[in-house]
Amino acid sequence: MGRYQRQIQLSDFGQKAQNKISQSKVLVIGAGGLGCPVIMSLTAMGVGHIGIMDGDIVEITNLHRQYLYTEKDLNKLKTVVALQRLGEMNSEVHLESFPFFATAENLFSVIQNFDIIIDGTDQIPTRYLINDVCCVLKKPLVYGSVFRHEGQVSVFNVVQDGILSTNYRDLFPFPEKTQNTLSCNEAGVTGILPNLIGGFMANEAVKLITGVGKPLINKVLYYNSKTNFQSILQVSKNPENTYIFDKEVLEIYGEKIFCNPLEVEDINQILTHLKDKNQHVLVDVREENERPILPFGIKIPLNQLSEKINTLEKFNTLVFICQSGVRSAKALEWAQNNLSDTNVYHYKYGAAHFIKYCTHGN
Amino acid sequence: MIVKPFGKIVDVLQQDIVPENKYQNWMELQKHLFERFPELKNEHYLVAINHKIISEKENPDLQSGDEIALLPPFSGG
Repeated sequence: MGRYQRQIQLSDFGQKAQNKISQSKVLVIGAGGLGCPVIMSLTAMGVGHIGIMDGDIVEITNLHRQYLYTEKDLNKLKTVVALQRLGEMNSEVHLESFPFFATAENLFSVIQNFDIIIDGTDQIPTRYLINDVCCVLKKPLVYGSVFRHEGQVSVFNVVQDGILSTNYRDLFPFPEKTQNTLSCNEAGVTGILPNLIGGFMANEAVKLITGVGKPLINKVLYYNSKTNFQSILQVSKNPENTYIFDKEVLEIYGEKIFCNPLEVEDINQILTHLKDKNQHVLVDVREENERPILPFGIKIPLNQLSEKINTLEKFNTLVFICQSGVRSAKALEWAQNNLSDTNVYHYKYGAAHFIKYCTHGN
Repeated sequence: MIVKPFGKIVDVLQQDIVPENKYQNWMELQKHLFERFPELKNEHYLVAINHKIISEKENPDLQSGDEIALLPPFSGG
């Protein structure tokens, strides 16, 4: 009897599904509360190649929910411990470690070698980053997250009948609004919940690999461990999600995009602010001779802002822009000190980027 | 009609809400919720009506038996 006999003997699974599993390559980002049950399940089931990405070490507060680690592993890199233990569980699996945190600089090169990506991280900016990179590279993404006694699971970015399914930005299009979301460190979590949610996530990955079952594509599963209430919500393409997925922009600005909405705006936020031309205006603070010329907005060089304050006061929202984001940041600082009743932003990427990605008319 | 808060929104609404009055559409109901629970304005959540997520600008009409879920983003892992 082979080690996978009990799943192969399922009539709708069989050797065919097992072969697909043994040929699959899955990257798990985050080897914590969600990542541990995922990598343990996928290793046991015989996934051919598992990548584990995490720059963290094992801490005492991890042990109540991260069952892969023991007291002997404290202060060791999670990837080092995981590789050793998973290798003992199943020597047939090719395990590869990426002992660092996900960043815009490293994610593209790592993700492109895998078929399915699993997000078990615990920070909102990283979740947007992983989502965005998967959208650029068109990689299916299994998403899971927890809050106290509750969890969410979904599958993003799967091509079905030639159409790409929904992604995280269809649920929450505006990163700046999600900034106050609490992680487990702040909100607390029981030991069992992430293992349940991680189990759901591994299950979704196996469904994607084998084609057996219906993955949560265009759906979000909600689960509450206190009441056992669960609900599946239908997700549609969100018209508010007009984000332009772009490798170059992500590699340059990456997760910094989400740090401070006043300092960095994406094109779509800019366009939202500029919808009402009488109330909102794009203010180009470059000198007269600088190019490219912007298709709309007003021009006031940085050193003339004070004398043109009467013009600026007429608007309730100003978005400053310059060549590279330096002068617009200074303009933002000036406006924060001098225009207390005005909403002020600056566009960090500069005029050339704005022109390149501004496909909306105005 | 019932409004079900999830995650952090439970801290604001405390429990499922069954509005006493009839509200024609989602925006009207949300306005009522903002008046009753001013802190809700500071929260970020997606809205699902009868298990179907609506976008921020949609304002569907409501029927008496509708179930409205308010689900915020979770980040923990």
